[in-house]
Order: sequence, then C-alpha cells, then structure tokens
Amino acid sequence: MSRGGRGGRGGAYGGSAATRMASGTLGILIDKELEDAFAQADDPEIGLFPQYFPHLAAPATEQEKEQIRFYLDLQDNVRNGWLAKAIEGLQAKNRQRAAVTKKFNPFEDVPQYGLKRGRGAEKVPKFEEFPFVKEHFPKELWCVLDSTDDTGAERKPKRLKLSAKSNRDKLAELDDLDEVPELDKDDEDGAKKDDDEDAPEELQDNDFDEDDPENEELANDDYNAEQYFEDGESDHDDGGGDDGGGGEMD
Amino acid sequence: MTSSLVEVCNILIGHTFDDISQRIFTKLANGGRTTFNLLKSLHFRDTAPRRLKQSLARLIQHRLVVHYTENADTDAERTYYSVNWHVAYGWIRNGRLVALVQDRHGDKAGSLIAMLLQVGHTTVADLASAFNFEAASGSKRESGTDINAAPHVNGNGAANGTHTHRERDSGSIKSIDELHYIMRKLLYAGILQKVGTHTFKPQADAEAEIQAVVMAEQFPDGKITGPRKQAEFKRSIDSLKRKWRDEERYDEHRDADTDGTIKRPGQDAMAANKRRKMNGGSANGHGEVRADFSGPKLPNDMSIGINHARCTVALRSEQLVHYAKQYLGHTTAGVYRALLIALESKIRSIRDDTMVYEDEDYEDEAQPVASVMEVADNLDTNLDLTPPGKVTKSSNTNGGPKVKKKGVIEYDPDFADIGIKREVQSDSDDDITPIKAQGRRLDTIEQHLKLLEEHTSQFCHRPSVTGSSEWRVSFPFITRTLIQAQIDTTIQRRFGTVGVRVARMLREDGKLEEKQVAQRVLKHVKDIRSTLGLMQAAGLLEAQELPRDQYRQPTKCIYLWYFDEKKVQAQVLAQSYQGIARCLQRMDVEQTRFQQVLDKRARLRADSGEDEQRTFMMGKAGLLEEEGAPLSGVEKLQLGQWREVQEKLLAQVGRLDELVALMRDFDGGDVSMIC
Repeated sequence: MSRGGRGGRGGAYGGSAATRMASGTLGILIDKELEDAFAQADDPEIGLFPQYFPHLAAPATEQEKEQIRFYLDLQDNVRNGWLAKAIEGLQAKNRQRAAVTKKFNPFEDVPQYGLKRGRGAEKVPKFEEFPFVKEHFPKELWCVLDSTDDTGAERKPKRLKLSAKSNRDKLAELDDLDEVPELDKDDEDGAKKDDDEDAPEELQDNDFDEDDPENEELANDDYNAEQYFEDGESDHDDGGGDDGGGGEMD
Repeated sequence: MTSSLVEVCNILIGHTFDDISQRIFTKLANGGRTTFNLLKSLHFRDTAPRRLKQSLARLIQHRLVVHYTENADTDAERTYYSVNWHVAYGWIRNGRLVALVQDRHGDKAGSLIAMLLQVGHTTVADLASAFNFEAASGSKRESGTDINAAPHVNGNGAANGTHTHRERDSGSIKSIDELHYIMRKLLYAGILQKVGTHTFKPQADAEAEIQAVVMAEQFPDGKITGPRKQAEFKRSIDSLKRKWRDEERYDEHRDADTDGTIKRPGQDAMAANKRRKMNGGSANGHGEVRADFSGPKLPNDMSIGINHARCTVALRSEQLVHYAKQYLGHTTAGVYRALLIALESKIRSIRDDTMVYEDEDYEDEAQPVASVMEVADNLDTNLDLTPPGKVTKSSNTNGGPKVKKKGVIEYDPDFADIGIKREVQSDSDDDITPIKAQGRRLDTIEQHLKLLEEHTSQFCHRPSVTGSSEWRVSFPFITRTLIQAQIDTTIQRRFGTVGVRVARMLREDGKLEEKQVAQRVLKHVKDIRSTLGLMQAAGLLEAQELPRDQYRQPTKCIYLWYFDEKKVQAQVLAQSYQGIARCLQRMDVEQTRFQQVLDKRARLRADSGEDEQRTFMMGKAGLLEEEGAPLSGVEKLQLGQWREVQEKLLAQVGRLDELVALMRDFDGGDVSMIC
C-alpha cells in the first residue's frame, strides 16, 4: 500500500480508499491524472466522442478526375437522353403541364413566371421512334418497339439522336450559364413568333403538332385577349398612371 | 449472387435510369429470372403494361437484361428475363473505358465510344445517321464550294444540333469515312464488338442450347455413355461454342461491304454518298493529319456494341505497370507497359473457357508473345530510353560545353541538376543511320525487358532461349503475385507488420501450431496470441482442431492455424462491394444537401439549351430578369462544392473498383457473377 505513487495505486485504490490517511479536503488520496481521465470519459464532449483521426483518402488524381468527368457525362446523357424522355410517364406530365398553362386568363390572371415558361409542351420524343433492332428483342416487346400506324403507310425513317454534351470544363460550364437568359432572345422570338411553330424540326412530337394551329390562331387573332393588352411593356412611366386613370374615369 | 453486389448494381441502375427500370432490375436481381407476366402480376400491379414494357426494352437495349425464349413460335412460348451482371456492374467502369479509349486511340474514338454507351448498341447505319454527315455536306454542295475543301460541318458534325456551343470542331468526326475508319480500328482492338442474337441470351441458356443442338445432330439416340463418347460430346460442344463465338466476331473479309470490291481511295463507295468523291478523304487547308480513311466499309446493318471485357484487360495492364514501377522505376515500367499493350491486342479475352489446360506449362504456351519490334511500336514517344550513366568517350564533366562538331551536342539530362554536363555519345551522331538508331533503340528496349525478366516477380520471360527476341508474360502467375501483394497490403494496414508477417508465413508454410507460428515470426507466444485471435475474428485466419483422444478434450487438442487465400480473396471482394455501395449511397444523401441548386441549374439548362423554339410571350422587361437570373456567386460555390463531393466519392469508387477487378476478374475465374 503505497501513498501517492501511481504505480501501486492502481490495484489498491478501490479497496483501501476509505482507510487512507487524509491528505486533502476530501479524506482520500487523489491522483490528478486518473481523476481527469475518468472525468473525461464521462464528459459527453470528450469521452463519448474522443478525438479520432480518420484515415483520409488521397485526393483524386488527374486521371481519375478525367474518368469521373466521363462517367458523369454519360450519366447525364442517359438520364436526359431520348429513351428516358420518351418513357410515357414524362410525356404525360408534359401534357398535363401544357393543359394547365392553356387556362391562363389574360383578363384576370396575373402573368407569372412559371406560366410563361410553361408555354408549349416540351418536345418529347416518342419511344417507338428510336431505331431498335427488333431481332435482338423478344417478340413480346415488339409492340413497343414499333409505332403502330393506322394507315399502314411507311413510317418516317428512324434516326438516332445522340447528345454530345459534355461537362468537360466545370468553370466554363458555370461561365456559360451566365449567358443563359439572354434577353435579346425575346426580341428575336417575338419577331419570329409566327414562324416558330412552323419551323420544322425533323421529328416533331405529334402532340405539339396538334396544338400548332391553335397556337397560330391565338397569335394572329384580333380577338386574342392575351395580346390585347401590351402587358405593361411600354408602360414605363408608372408615375402618371394613377392620375391618368383617375382623369379618364371622369 | 452476393447481396452486396446486388446492392451495388441496384444503386447504379437507379442513378442512371428511371425508377421503373430500377424496380424491374431489383426484382429480377433478387428474384431470379421470370417471365413478363409473372413480373407484372407480382410486382407491378399498378403500372401500365406498356410502360413496363418500355422500361424493359430500354434495359435490354443497354444489355442490362438478357432474355431467352423457349418453345419459340409455339403456344407454349415463354420468354424469361434475367439480369446481366457483367454489364450491370461494368457500368461503374464506363468512365474509365472512355478515358482508356481516348488515351489509346484518340479523342474522336473516345467521343464515339461515349456516344455509343448512351444507347447501348446500335447498327452502323444508325450511328452514321446520328452524325448528320449528309445534311452538313449537302448544304455546302449546293452552294458550290470547292470539292477539295473539307466539308465544314454546320457548327459540329457530332451531335444532332442540340448542344452546339459545347463542341469544338477539331474534336468531332467529320466524314463518314472517318467514322468507319475509327469503328474498324476499334473493332480490331476489340473494344467494339459485333452484337448478335446470342449476346442477349443468358450464358446458361446458350450452353443448354448448344448441348441440345449437339445432341440432336451427333447423338440422335441421346445416350452419352462411356468416356470416349463423353469426350466427343464435350469436344463438339466446344467447337460449336467457338463457332458461335466466331460468328459474332468481326471479320473483315466476312463482314465487308456487299459487293466485296476493294474500295480505292477517291472512288465512290456507296451510291448514296456521292459527295465523298474527294482525294482519298484527305483535305486541304487543315492542319490536322489526315489519314487515308478509305477502306472497306462496315456493312450498314451490322450491330455493334461495347465489349466491356476489354476494359478489364486494360485495367490489368495498368495495375501490372504500377506494380513494376514500384520496383524498377519509371522507364522500365514504360517499356513494360508497351509490352503489355502489344500483348493486349492478341488476347481475345481473359477467360477462354473452351480451353482447358492440363498443365501449367501448356497454359503458359498458349499465352501470346510479342516481339521487340511490336514493343517498340507501342512505346510511348515521350519516354526517354537513354540509359543514364553511359560512359562516353567525349564526356565533359566540368561543365563548359566544348563544341567539337558542327552539330548540336546532347547532354545527358539525368545529371543536369547536379551541374554536370555529360555528353551523350555524340561521336556517332553524324554517321548514325536510321537503321542503326533503330537497332540501338531495340537494344535498349531489350535491356529493359531483361531487367524485368530477372526480377523475382518474373514480369516477363522469353519462351525460347535461342535468341529470337520474343517476350511473353505469364499472366496467371503474375496475377497471383499481384493479388497476394494486395492482400498483404490490406492486412498490413489493419494489423501491422506482425499481422502481415504471420499471414505470409502461414501462406508459405501451411498449417502450424501456435508455438511454431510464434517461433517463425520471432515473437513470444503470448504476444502473438492476440494477433492471431484478432485476425481470426476478422476472418483472415482459420483454425483447425485436431483432437488427440476420442473425447475431444480441449486441453488435449492440437490447434492449427492456417491462411486460406481463396477465402480471403472472396472476403476482400465482398468488402469492396460493400464499400462501393456505401459510397454511392452517401452520394445520394449528399445530393439532398445541394438539391435546390441542382434543380435550378437543371431548369436553366432546359430553358437555354434544348428548347430553342420556345416562345416568350412576355416582353423583355418582364419577370424573367428577376427570377430567372443566372446562378449567383453563392450558388456557383455550392455547385463547386457538389462537384468536389462527387469527385471524392467517385474517385473512391473507382479505386475500390480496381480492387474488385483484381480480386475477381483478372484470373478469369468468374467467382460471384454466375447466374
């Protein structure tokens, strides 16, 4: 039974603590370091979550980064590729969206960003128009591989569309996005609004075709309520609006 | 099928394909093969059958799902669908595959492969039409430009016009000749492969079919009794298998274009593409090197797809080179790499199960050889083969170039940083002929190869000693060396030097008792006991009990410790799969942190890039300016962070994938993927 020495204390601590001579206010010998260790073990910050130095993996090498870039590009292209979009669920969603945006009431509804952007269904390619090689598929699936024509006339020759998009340069990509909502585009679009629907894209979505004449009419009609008001384009001097309005009311 | 592999594949498919496809894949993976009706009625009650069929067709298109129809054209016809593990797991390696093709065969080949990966497989004609060659060159033709000018494609020749702002002209394929040329090159290299109906059958079914065919043809009575007949049966099966496989292999003569004439440069090949009447496809006015792209065209209805096994072969070469570099340095490793590349083209596939070798020697002999000339061809041009420290007659050790000749004096670069300028054998510079230079180069290469040969790991060896310099790498042997090295490294990281010493010792010496283990590892028994116990708990060591009496009293038993290599290999493989699965899952979780920014970016992209025909009804001072603003600085920062997170996780996945490839694919014995 030694006093104060750390080596001998270990075994004798528990049993003989009470019989020790007092040294200190509590009447038991206190080993500072051991006390600290016990306190720390109970301390929620340090004891439960002791300092731990994890092994960190080496950062990606240039080669690996290149491979990752290719992989992510591929993932993007497949996710947003032809077949993905053509799967009918997406098509239905688009049709829904297009249906909703038609109901914009120009007299009462406030023009909203989302409605404006939702005009016209996205050009969703058709699943059947993908050039499948039928021999490779089982007969069960042939019905989705071919477009069923009522007339039996020759189908449009199928063409493969591939995206060569690649996010090669992260910085360049982020820079590119700066140009995205180019406001001069609106001018051009406004000018060739009429031609836009006619402008042929090789594979047109049939849904869009159906809407085509309607949009045309809407654009050119005298009774087009949407175009009746100028949407505040030239309404730049808001200051005199009230007075002018008030004056007219008389 | 290990469940971790299932997990990995499910997550992979989920990342890239839509949710119905992922569910189909999961159900097939977990449940085994089923028919369409069963699949629909059990798992997809709420989905429209058409939708289900579309997703299934999509998976088949990418060869992720294979199918087999039995009793075709009868009432009992049924089609079974099952997953194709090779392609499903191989999806991880696609990025590496594209990078590899780009390295070895150029940017254009790389982009071609990337595009082909998007669609799985396709016919030659469709691929050509995707490049939009005719439309591009057609417009120029009408405007009467010079025939000899290269067809300057509208913006780019590669894609169908959607993301034009991304393409650089120099990186895209400009003519259909070039496309065919690149495709032929890739077919020869084995990266592209012909895709036929057999590719879509599960392997077991294909084998069963072969057996049935052989039985019907050669053994009509259906009895295969006796060893002789059995051997004959087996041989017929093998030959038919090989025949089917060869049918699907691209052969220039068999698959050449229909009329079979040799296409001469400048001669019109196909009637449809008259405008390719240029001087051999070469062009004036462009700085790039134009090879003669004419040659036999691929037939238009041939389907081609990616051969994922090539990636494995290339992976193996890379790992071997890395291993060699650690021992022998950069230059020698470069030479080794050239040798491996030369051999790669001669290897059909790692796994050739029609050949069974009776003896290791025979196995060795069947490996391909490469001559030094081929090695020299494949050598990286940047590699400086000059042996350092070569004492030359006119060496100048004290700096100060003494110009003795008119020509430029070359200094040995290796000693340059010490300030010593040593001339490199300049005496024969003037009178060295190209043949001599070539000969000297070959000599140097041979010396490097000899270094490789003499190393204890036996990187390569010469099969015939008589002096014809042909070199061979015995892959089975060196693969085992690699695997052992990797396992040793793993054990060392986890259990320290003691652990790895124990493992190595037990690997060599077999089963030993505790005392003997301690003796040989030079440790005390009580020290070694804990290590042995820990390693056993981790599954790396095994213990065997030998009872000495009939009651099997523990005190009287002998306990032997041993190291089972195969088991450890499988264990490391399983843990790698788990690691990959966790990384990918983590990526999903991290994505939710950045979801807002990613959505915004996707929306902006959709607005700007693809839908150019969208009409903006609002005026220019409309709301677009306020809400549709491009990404702010903070958002760009977040996107950058997301990119970093992705890179970290995917880099880790790539490294784990290398490990998986080592443990599973390199020796050709397909361990966990048999369906």
